[in-house]
Amino acid sequence: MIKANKELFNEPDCSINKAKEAKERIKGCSKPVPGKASGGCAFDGAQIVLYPIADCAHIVHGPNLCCSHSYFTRGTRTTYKEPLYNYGFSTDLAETDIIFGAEKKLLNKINYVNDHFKPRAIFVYSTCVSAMIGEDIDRICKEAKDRLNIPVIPVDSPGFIGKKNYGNKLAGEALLKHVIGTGKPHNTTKRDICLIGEYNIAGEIWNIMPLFDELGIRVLSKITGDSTFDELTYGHYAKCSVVICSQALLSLARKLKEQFNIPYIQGSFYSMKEIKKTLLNIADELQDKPLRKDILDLTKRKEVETYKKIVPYAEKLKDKKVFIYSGGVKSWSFVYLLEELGLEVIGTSTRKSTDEDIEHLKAYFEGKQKILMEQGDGIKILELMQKHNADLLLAGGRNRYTSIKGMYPFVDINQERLHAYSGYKGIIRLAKDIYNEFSSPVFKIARGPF
Amino acid sequence: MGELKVVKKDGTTNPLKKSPLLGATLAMAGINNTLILHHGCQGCTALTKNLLTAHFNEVIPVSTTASSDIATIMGGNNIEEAVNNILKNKTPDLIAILSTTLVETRGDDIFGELKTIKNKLSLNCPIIYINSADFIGDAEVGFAKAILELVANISHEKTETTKKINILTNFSMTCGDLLELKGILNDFDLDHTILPDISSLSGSCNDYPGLIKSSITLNDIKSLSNSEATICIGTSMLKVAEYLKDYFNVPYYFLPSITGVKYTDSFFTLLEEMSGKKRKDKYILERNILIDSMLDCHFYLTNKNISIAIEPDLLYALSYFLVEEMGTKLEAAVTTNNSDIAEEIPTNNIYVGDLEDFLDELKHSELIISNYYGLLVSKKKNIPIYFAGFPIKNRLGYHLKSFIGYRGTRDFLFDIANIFLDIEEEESLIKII
Repeated sequence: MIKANKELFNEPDCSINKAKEAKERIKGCSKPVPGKASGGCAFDGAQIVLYPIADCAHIVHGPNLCCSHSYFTRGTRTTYKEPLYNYGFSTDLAETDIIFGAEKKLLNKINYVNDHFKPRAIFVYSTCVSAMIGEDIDRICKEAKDRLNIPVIPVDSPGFIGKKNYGNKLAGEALLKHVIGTGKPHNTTKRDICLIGEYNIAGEIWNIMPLFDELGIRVLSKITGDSTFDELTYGHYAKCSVVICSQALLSLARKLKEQFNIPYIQGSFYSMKEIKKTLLNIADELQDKPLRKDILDLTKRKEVETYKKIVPYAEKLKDKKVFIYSGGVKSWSFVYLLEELGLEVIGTSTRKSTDEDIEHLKAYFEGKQKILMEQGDGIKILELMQKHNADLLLAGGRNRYTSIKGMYPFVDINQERLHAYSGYKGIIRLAKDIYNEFSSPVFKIARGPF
Repeated sequence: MGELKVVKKDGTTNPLKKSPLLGATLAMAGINNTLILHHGCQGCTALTKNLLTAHFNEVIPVSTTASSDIATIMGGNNIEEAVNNILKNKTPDLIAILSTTLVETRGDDIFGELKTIKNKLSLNCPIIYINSADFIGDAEVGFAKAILELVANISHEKTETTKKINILTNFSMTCGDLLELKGILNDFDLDHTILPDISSLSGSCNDYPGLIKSSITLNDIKSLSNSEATICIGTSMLKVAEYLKDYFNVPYYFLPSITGVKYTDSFFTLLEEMSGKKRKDKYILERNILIDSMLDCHFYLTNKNISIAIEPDLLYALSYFLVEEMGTKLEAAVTTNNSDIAEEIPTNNIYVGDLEDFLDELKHSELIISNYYGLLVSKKKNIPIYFAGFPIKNRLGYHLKSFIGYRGTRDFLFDIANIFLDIEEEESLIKII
């Protein structure tokens, strides 16, 4: 069962990978360093991708911790009425299961979940322990599928196999192998696309969908934010796929291209500049001239509206200094976004960023004194903020307490964020959230003499 | 008082219990300058830290040996590498290795490994190992086990008897409880060691910890054996009290809880005996206020049906007060390990189980008490919920609430009574409209 998929470790289209020397490339994605590693495991990563599929049940074949510490915590949102991702199903492996095996137990659990919760499909996750004792989840899933007549999908995602990011890829792999390509849509249009790598955290997808609706672009398949199982099965009918802010699911997009001849583009919906660019790229990929014109009209109108709506916040935001600690596409798309709001970005981090991302930044920052920070910890971030007289930190939830320790205003732009910052609506929301941070009297009291 | 039933089924649906790893981590977060190192895959650490951070709104420094695929199959010297990496910029007083289910399943010789590390790295701080795999119960058990290992490995032989007393606190006690407890002990001028003292997790906004901060130091642990006596709060901690008695001849006093009138009275009497001092007037006033509050609140509580899903020690503390002293009924209780105290809980309907079992048992309950995960049950059954226990991710400041002593009991009582008051107000409003 324990087999690291070499190809996934070595995504040819991944620009982090492309940039490496051949010798380095063989080693694949970076391995966690004992004592320094932080962040989730492959199992966690696989769940993040698949949990948003709201009509499916997710059974964890592992000890108590894997499920009990991870269920009912995801920030994903759905329009589905009673999302099954609120339930944590686990085989809760005990010592006797380790000795005698727990395949029967898993099979019983699958049956039970099917009988009581009527899921559209069931995802079964292997974990460190079940993989190590050699539980054959592929066989059990097949057995269960034949008997229950619903898809029962094995996700081979033991935590030790890699980081969260690698787990994302494994989930993509499971979708490609067992889900995408098994269904057929009622009809197709020439403007069918699929979105890859957007998990509808805080409802981000709902900020983007109205744009597609207005432009007459049909999102045939959302992988996987606010999705249900059926739309994934016919994702391969899309005319183009859009990978949003994700290195991890690039493999999935590439394979869709190879297997089903679906071209893909990478895009982002943070900042007016990026929204426009991404939409235009879609039009180009669809070779749709009228759409191109519609996009130009729409974005122009929306940009005027957006600038009008951020006026009440503009004064407080103007020329304030902000440091961004985020990775990948966000590291630069948020730079655009903040500058659109009138703030001055003093620097950003480049962790998890590809060379392409860094090139973006370097080109944009050219001729200015800006900080490009590699991996840093809370203490380093605080030092930097102090040195450069920063007014605001934009980072992930893990650094929320960094900002609190340093008594700096803070806005969360990662997984645990409270509000969606994508689309035009998101820009206004971010302006408001930053405005609120700068309006708070707390910082003055906290920093003040006592 | 019913027999503790264990639900027999394959696996769990919406588990209530948390991992011993979490309990052990929290326990070690109560010892100053400790380096907590999880031995296993990095996911266990990330998921555990997420829960702790969400509950306390505070960063708790925890590292991981980050076992990868090759290290998992072949074994490896991940502990050594991790310790080496961390010691480059940190100088802990104590290193605590907490194992995960992965390494315990593999059956690593961790003791052997630690021996080698000690010699090789010439560490000048002690290093202890706590088996916190999921096989040995839940977070409450893991918490107690970590403290037991700490005492067994660190405490010195008795050299003298000092006037100090040891206080053992259990998994479910909040930062608020610890702060209240310390206030009471100081008012009796009692020299004490609280084991563990997690109250520093209540917040500090001007330092960035690389290691654990707590009022309890390694030297305090070393000299536990010299104390005059131990006060053990909570059944889960009894093993530690017994160890101190058996090995170091430190007598102990046991209180399953210090919530409610009876147990708080016993606690204050005990403190009076130990300190030779009368309680301060403010505690007499606090007791009077509590009794008056109980009279005020009883109109809303008598014979009301309540159900609770929580760790055994807190379950006992809350249910004893609500049932025996306020006259509510405990329709159902679900708990997380087969603690001895479970049989003392005032209901015939008590299980070790998950939240699905809990849901099945609710027939007439008008209120449930549980942690964050109980929210799903509350929504499904449309019954109001009061949050207690660990974790509580959807309320701010709940880690600072106190449930102990006269004051904590009173605040808890008003919280509960107000929920029932709201229900009655709502009913009468409907009638008016």
